[in-house]
Amino acid sequence: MNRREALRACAHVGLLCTTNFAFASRQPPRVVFLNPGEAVERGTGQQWQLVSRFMTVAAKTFDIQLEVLYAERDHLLMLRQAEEVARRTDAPDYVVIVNEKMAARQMLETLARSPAKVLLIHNDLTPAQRREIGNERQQIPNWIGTVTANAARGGYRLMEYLCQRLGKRAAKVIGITGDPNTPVSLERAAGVDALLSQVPNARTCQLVFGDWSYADSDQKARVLLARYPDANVLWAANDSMALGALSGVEASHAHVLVGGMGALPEALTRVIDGGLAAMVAGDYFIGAWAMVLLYDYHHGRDFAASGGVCQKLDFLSVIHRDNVAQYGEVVFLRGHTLDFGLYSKTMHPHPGPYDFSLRHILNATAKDS
Amino acid sequence: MRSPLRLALRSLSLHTKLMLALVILVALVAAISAYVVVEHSRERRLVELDERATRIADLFSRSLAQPLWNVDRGAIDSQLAALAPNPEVAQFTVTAVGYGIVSNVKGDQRVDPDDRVVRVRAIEYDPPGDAPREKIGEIRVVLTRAVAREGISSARRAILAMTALVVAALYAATFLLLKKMVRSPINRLEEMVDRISDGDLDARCAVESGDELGRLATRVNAMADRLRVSTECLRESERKYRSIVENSLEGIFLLDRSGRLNEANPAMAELLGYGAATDLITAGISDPGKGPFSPMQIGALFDILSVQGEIAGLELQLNRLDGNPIWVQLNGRGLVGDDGRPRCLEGLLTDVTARRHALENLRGHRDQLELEVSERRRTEGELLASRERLQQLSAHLEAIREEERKLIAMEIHDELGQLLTALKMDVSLLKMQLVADSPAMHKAEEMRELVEKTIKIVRNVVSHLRPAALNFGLASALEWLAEDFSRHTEIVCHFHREGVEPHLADARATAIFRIVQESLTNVARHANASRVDVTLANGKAGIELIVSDNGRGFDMAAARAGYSYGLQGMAERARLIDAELHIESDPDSGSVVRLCVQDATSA
Repeated sequence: MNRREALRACAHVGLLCTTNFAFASRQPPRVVFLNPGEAVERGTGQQWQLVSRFMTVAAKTFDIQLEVLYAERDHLLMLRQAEEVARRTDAPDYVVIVNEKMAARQMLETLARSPAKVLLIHNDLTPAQRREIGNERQQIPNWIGTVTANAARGGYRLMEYLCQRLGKRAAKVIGITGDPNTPVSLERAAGVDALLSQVPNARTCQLVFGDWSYADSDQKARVLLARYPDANVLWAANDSMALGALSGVEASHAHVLVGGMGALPEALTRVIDGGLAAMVAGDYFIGAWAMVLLYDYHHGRDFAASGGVCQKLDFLSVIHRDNVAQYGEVVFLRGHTLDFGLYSKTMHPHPGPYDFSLRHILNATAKDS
Repeated sequence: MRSPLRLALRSLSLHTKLMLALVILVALVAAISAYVVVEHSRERRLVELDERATRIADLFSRSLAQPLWNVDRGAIDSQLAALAPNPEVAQFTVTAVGYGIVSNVKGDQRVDPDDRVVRVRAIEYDPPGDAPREKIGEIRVVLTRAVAREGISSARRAILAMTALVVAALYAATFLLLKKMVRSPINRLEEMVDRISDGDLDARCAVESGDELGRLATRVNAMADRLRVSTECLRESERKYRSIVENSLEGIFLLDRSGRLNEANPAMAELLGYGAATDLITAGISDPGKGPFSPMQIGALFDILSVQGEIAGLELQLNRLDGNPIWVQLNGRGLVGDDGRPRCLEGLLTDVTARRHALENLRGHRDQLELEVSERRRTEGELLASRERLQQLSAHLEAIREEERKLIAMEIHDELGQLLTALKMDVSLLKMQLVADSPAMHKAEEMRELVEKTIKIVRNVVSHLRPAALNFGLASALEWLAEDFSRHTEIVCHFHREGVEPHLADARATAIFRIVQESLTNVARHANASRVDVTLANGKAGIELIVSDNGRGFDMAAARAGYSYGLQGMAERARLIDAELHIESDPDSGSVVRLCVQDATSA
């Protein structure tokens, strides 16, 4: 790049910034979501499509221009996409990124060159990553915040429900969690452990790490059930693994309660038919919650004042045979009607931290119906 | 089968034999080496395969512990897949306890059950803390030996090819080296030896090196030198001996068992009346019956040879060509054939016809001489008898003489002595009747003196004839003789007696007395001695009488040659009484007469 081109670029940027600031409050904000998942479901579950779907519903609610770029589970592609976004002359107002395969650090550094504000969702940075690049609004000023689900609470609640189902029997638990490098898989396991430590006679037979896939979980379940014939609870860290584990349990003819994290339609179907005892639902709303926070932020209500720049949201709920029907209908049959505006402090001002409990929208939708 | 092969081997050249030996040796060594190497390689590969299987199983048993604990099939598969492409891998199977096969990876090869190397190891999880290890599964590693076998066979091919190449190269190199270093020099050596054997003794081998072949060439040259010298010597020797044979005066021949003459010299031909030796030989060949030796003679000659090995001085009668018989003396020795029997006779013939005639003459002379000798012997016998009789006669005469002497002495003593004594007494009586100092008185005195003298003479004659003392024994006689000798000569004579008085017959005592008497007479006459000792010893051995003087002695030979009748008489007397008489004397050292009488009582 020669000097002339550089000057021209600077002029453009300056002009655009001026324009943005000048029309900030009037123009609908533009958000780019670097979705690590697949645009069309190809075997790794619908998780990221659902995240995009509910983000889109929320964007529509808040009149936000949402652009979703799918990385197709390829973090290198995701990095290139971040690079592309950062190079955009017409930069979006916000960029939502995920720490998929620990790529967030590079993306944050890349996007630091962009005027767009960056919100990290779903997977937090690891402590090590934070030591390297600092926290929100510090070394990277445009990294305005982090929104993650409180996975530990999800695990806790799931195991709480499953132990209830066991009644007086002592829980002997097999856990199949995800990739050990992904913090959320450890957090979910930590929640499970937290609950089990409170239940007398409960014991974890073994916690294994998986690759989030159906087949792997199926295999693991079969082997672990053979290894621990007296196990009576099996949980898995996502939908696919829960279904795989269920398959393994069924193949082993074991009497084991199977639960999982993530409540995709397929898993909910197995909850309905009694195969799966429970699923922890709500992960795919994290994008929607991000939209809520960005909307409020854009309208001057910085979420930092309501829970901090790094929000670990406790909204995950256990879906079981009693509530699965309602949940399925509300979320999947009438999902496009969900009103995420209920959660916005701009639209519905309320003090204190955000409350993203699902019952609000479930209840609201139930009332509507 | 073996014999033609041996013949074929024998007819091969040295080079070929060496090469053949080398090929066999090298091929043997190479084959053994290759076999050993191949076997070692095979063993090593199989052992390595076993060890590899063990290592893989051990490795998997450790490395799969965590993935299997975590039931991380991807990790398990990837670990197994990492080693699965190895061509030796037939199968990896991971089983979980109570579950069964977790992962199974098969190699490309189909495996014969016999070719499998199977290792099964437990997979144990080592939980953190003090919890015991927990068996969570098994890894079963199946490797195939097929690849190792292929490797072995290819290694074998490579080793064999390399061995064959090395053998071929070695063969070629050795072939060329041997050809240059052995075969060519040997060929040249052969050529030279051929020339030498053909008679070219001036041919010499070129000494090209200091090795065995060079030394052999040097020795061949030395041999040629010596051969030349010895050939010359041989020729000279042959010429010499040929000359000896040709010029020999004796017939020299070589006769074989069949009677054929193989060799003959001119002297032989001349002996047998032939013009030349060749005529003699050819005559025998053309007509076997005309040979010099008759078949009977030939048979006899070879019989002698068979027994004695040689013939020495055998005389034969042969016929000359002109039919005249000749006598020959044959000396010869046999040449022994392969069967151990004499094959030929090498002989010398000497014409002894003249000698034989001379011998016959000699035999005639001898016979005549023998006749003469026998006549002479007869005459000698007669002479001896005559002498015996003479001696007997002599003894008898001596005895008679002594007896006569004795009688005469007694007659003279008794008769004449009595008369003279009577005459003396008569004269004495006459004197008493005569006037003193008258002429008659004087006459009577003269008469008495004459009578006295006559009596003395008579006594002396009697004593001389036979000493009276002899009648009283030999000792008394000898004692008297000694005193008488001392009295009549100026030579001191002592008599000594040792032992008892011997009792001797009168004849023997007289003979002894006469011998002593003769000895003393000799001393008085010739010895010029101042002392004589007469000793009579009578011992067990007999009587020994010794007369020794200190005179000038005499030469015994001269004394005998001078026909000393005294000595002869002594000897004769001794012989008559069977005594031994020894006389010892040297000039200027006196003389000793020793008489030994053996048996004193017998006579």
